[in-house]
Amino acid sequence: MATVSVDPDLCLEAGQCARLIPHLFMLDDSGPVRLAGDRPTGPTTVDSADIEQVRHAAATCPAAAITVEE
Amino acid sequence: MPDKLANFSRNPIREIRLSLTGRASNRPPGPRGRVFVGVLPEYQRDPFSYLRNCAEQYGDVFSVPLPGMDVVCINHPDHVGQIMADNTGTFSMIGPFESLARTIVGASIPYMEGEPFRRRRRLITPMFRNSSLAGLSPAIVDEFTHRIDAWSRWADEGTTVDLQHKIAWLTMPAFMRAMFGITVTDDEIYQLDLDIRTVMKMMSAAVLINKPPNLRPGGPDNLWRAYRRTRRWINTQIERRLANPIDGVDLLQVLLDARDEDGNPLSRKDLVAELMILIGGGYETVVASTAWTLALLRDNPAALQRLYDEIDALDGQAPTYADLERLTWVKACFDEGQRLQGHPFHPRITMRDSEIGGYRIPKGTIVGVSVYALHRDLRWWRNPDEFDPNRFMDPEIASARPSLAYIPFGAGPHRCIGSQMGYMNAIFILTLLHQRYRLDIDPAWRPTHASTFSCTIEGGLPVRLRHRQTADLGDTRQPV
Repeated sequence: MATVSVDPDLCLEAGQCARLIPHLFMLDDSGPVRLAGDRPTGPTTVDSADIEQVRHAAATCPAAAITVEE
Repeated sequence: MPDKLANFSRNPIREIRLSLTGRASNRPPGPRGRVFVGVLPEYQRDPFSYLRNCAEQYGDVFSVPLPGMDVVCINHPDHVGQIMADNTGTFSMIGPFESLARTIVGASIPYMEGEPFRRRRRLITPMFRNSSLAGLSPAIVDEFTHRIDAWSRWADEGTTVDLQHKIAWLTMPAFMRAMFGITVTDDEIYQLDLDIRTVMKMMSAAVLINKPPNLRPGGPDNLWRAYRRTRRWINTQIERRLANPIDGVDLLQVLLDARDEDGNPLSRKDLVAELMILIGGGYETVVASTAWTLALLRDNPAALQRLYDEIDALDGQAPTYADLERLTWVKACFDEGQRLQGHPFHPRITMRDSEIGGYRIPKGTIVGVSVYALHRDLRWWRNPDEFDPNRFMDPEIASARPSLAYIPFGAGPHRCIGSQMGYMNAIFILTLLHQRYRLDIDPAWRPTHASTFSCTIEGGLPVRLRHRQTADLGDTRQPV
């Protein structure tokens, strides 16, 4: 089971992750990235339907602020 | 046997150590190279084409025999991820030279690793966020606008100017004003530009893509003098700020206010090193990539026309931060310019024995990627030598290739912290420039890569500017 975490201190607010998976990565005018759900920085379990997209978001994050643990 | 002899002649101590420990086997294929010099002459003559040709001949992992170094070049996005997005400490930007660099020049994010690196990166990150760039953008646009307007003096005169150099005179003062609250004079721009390029020439000489700058005492391009002069200038700005604190927040203030867990500020040495790296990374990179974009747009009149059409939708108004989202074709043109710009060799140092693509990579090997070759790989790029911004505009084409097939800003934790700022500056410059002028470039002229830190255009970008006429607006449209 894969989980995802984010580091808001590293986030550059490029918004790529939020455009890819808007129901998981939350990014608005209020500040850097947060994860949907109870834990804003994770770890949060990733739905199997989203895993490919989450991996892509982690690989392309310009701040390397997204970590996926498989 | 001849291979072993050639390897031994280039790097005897390392070859003996690898043989004794049984680690000399299963090394990547590659050109054999001559005794002592390896392939240094071919590599230095044109590192761009040389490594691209090697990648086509030897595959995704190949050795580059150079004197005194064990160099391996990789050419597959998966391997790029392995060396650049590495979080195990196997591949490092600075490796065993970290403490040396810290002692001599001070610690700065490109030359730090591990937890200290992450702490420093977190410290600097807020200034490069979208939210703070939005706040900086009016000052940057203002600086660009009045300087680009001043080019009007020699537009329509038939005078050929080096636009690449002129762009440095946009990006440097804009960066200084926005990030340090400093208005630089023309004399300062001239000297800083010269000195910082000299210092960066030393950094790219470390991977042998160019000869080092003048290391002997004396001469205007002397490395030590350039370095000391830049340090002194930065120190003056720090002293001035300490004497006159500001209410607002800029990068200088963020770094001055920074405290570690024990409440200690950055040492003056680290502060100067960080500022010097930020200045170097903050202006000349945009100069090079914007110049390449302009040079290549000339080859694709349809792409250029589409760029004019997109910016003309702004009705001549100066672009704002909010407009960046609309200027998608300008961004695609810039991305395509950066693709073809491509650095010849982006290195990491192997910190412990490793394996890439089934080949043994002993500790101490310099492993790097030729961004130039990767950005022209036929597996990811159709007609790779053509300038076609649609590769970045069409979501289907863009998503069909691996994300790490395109790495103008690097990848992983060390990925350029200023990439968003780079996009912002380049899109503003391309927009403001094309709102006012047309560029005439001699049809016989072709851009070639300069072996410099930022991979500028060799000899600059020779352009004659013409004011746009009403009839030019959109070209196909009737004058209003």
